[in-house]
Amino acid sequence: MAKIAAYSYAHRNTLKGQLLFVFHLIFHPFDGFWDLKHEHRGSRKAATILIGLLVVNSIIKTQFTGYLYNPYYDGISLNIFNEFATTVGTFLLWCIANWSLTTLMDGEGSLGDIYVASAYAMAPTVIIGIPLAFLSNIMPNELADVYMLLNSVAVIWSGGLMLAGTMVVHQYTMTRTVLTAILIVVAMAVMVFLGLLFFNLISQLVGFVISVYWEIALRY
Amino acid sequence: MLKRIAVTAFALLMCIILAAPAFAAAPMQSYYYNAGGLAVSAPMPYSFVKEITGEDLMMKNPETGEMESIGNFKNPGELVVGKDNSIYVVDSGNARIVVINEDLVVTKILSEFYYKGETLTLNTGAQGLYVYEYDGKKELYISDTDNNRIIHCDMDGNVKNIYTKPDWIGVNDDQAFYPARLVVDRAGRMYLLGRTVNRGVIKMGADGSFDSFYGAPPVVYSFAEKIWRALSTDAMRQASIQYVPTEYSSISMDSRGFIYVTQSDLNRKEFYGTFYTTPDASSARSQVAAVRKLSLAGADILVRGGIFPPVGEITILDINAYSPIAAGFSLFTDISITDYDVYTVLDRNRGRLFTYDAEGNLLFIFGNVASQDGAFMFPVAVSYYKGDQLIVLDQQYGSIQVFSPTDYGATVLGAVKAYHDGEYELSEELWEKVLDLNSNMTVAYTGAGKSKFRAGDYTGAMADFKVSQNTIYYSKALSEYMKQLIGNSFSYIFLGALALALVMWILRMSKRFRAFLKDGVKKVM
Repeated sequence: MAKIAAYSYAHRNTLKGQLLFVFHLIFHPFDGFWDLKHEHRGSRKAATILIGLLVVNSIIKTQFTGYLYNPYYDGISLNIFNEFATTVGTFLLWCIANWSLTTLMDGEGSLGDIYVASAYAMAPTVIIGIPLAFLSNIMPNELADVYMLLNSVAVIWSGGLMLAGTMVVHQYTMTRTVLTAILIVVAMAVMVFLGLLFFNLISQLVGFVISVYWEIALRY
Repeated sequence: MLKRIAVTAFALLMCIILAAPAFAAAPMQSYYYNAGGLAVSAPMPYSFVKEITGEDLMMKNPETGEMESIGNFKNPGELVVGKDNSIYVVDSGNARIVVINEDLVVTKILSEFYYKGETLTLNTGAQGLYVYEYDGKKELYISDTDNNRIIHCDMDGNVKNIYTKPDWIGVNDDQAFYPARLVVDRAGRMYLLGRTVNRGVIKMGADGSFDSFYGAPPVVYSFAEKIWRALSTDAMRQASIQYVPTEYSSISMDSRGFIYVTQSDLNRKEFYGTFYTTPDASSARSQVAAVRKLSLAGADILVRGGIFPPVGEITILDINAYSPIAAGFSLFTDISITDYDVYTVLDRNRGRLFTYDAEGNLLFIFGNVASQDGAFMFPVAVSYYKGDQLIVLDQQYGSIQVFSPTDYGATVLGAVKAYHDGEYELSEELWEKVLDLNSNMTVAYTGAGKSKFRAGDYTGAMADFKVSQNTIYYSKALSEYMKQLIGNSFSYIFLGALALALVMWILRMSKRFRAFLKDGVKKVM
């Protein structure tokens, strides 16, 4: 512990140190998120790299998970842009919904703080997910439970860190954090709904203009 | 002049180039749905042997002793093959039952039935026939549909009993009784389909008394419906429909007495919903029950373990299909089952025959609607004949088409049969032969994979099981492969490594906890 701390101390302002801080943060979430925000142990650059790793994780999961745990994937239909859009899109949606709500609810974190904290919170997904994807190739059905367990651990760990991060960044109580998290998810759904509605209306409008154009163009 | 010569030469040249080489081929290509749901071409599993029309069939005139034609069939409705390979045709339009023996000579025509001094005749449009052949007896059950009765007689037309409208429960009394296809079990209980009856199979006792409606699937309630039912009164619950309205199109019995029914009106939404179900999602798949196998209690026990459930056509609107382009689901009108649980269903919509094995794997698709030998116009009945041959009754042509398995078809059926009989090695050998003939045959890869597995080629087996989407055997092969690589204790090593990591983590945490007890919290959160 002391060794890690000393090591991190020596590198505290380098990108390497900021990335390695992940390993401290995931085991000491409250301490870690506090330092992340107030002691500048993380940075937006490092957070962006972590999000990049999250995208890589989702690509590796699709492409390299063993057949038994990914039976319907044909091996060729991976679309990297799709994976990128879903991962980063969901993440940014969370950040924006989080920021929009906590601004109204006396949260103390800025959008930048939320972005950094949320990115660090997703670290267990990557740390467990990437090795697990490769390991699943040599795991027969007898180890399916282990696979499921590790997968769930990754999800629950990241979820817990998300909560802890939100709590520390905004200086909330636990109850308030859980309530806010639920509201954030609802807000995300509302944002998606509004987006689709808007897209639909715009496309209908464009369709209408185009059909009017053709009507006139074909007549005269 | 030069121009004329040039034109003539050109015309001659074109004659040579464009002359179509003459060749004989089946009226359509056979195809197969691969694991991706794509129709891929396959070798023809059955070849057309001959067409039997009423005109071709001869019968000895009892008075003159000469062979005479029996005259064409008119709108025949049903065809049954007896245990001695004789064919019974319900020649509905001519109000007669024609019995054809193994050598395709007519031995009997039943058109008059003798009952208590009266002579009964059939109404045109009789739709059902069952040949009861148990304990040395040979009796006929004929659905005289438009006369609202079932005639139970011996082979000479002496009526034993007549069953009329049963005292059925839960159905409007005014509803007329139109018996259609039927089967009879060994104890003489009748299972029949009634035209306009949508509550499943009508089950009647040997004396013609009503037993119950049988085999209709219970309604599966959605979440919202469950809440609604919880809120409604008992009377409301009583009044709500308990069974999915089902009008079966056909009923058949296999050699062990299990009843198979087919259904032709499928729910489009549920039909599409089943495509992404896994083979073990039996309850989801039984929702689209184009084919049902019924237990004694009326439960659906058909195994739907194929990559797709047995619903016939998977691509239901295919612009590249052979003409005539028919859209929509397969409309199953009949089913026939072999002794080794392979069954063939007849699709009236596109004139196709779909063969599935006992596990629900698709084996063959062939047949077409066309005016050609080996094609159908309005097929109504199918039956296995002399083992693996198939005969199909066409209502519009009034003919019986006979198909016999090709080399390919016989190999596939042989492999399935060998597996059914427990000769696994023979089965695997035959599956490998099938793969030589048709590398698109998904099911065959399971057989070939098992063979490689047995020979110790685990990576090869894994590749094969992956193609046939057989996760269970893939896992077995993977297990064996890992054993081969790192000895017998792969699982222990794997779990041991995990456990070690966990123990180290706990030790570290306990050390920290002891430090916490000693020093207290260093920093306030």
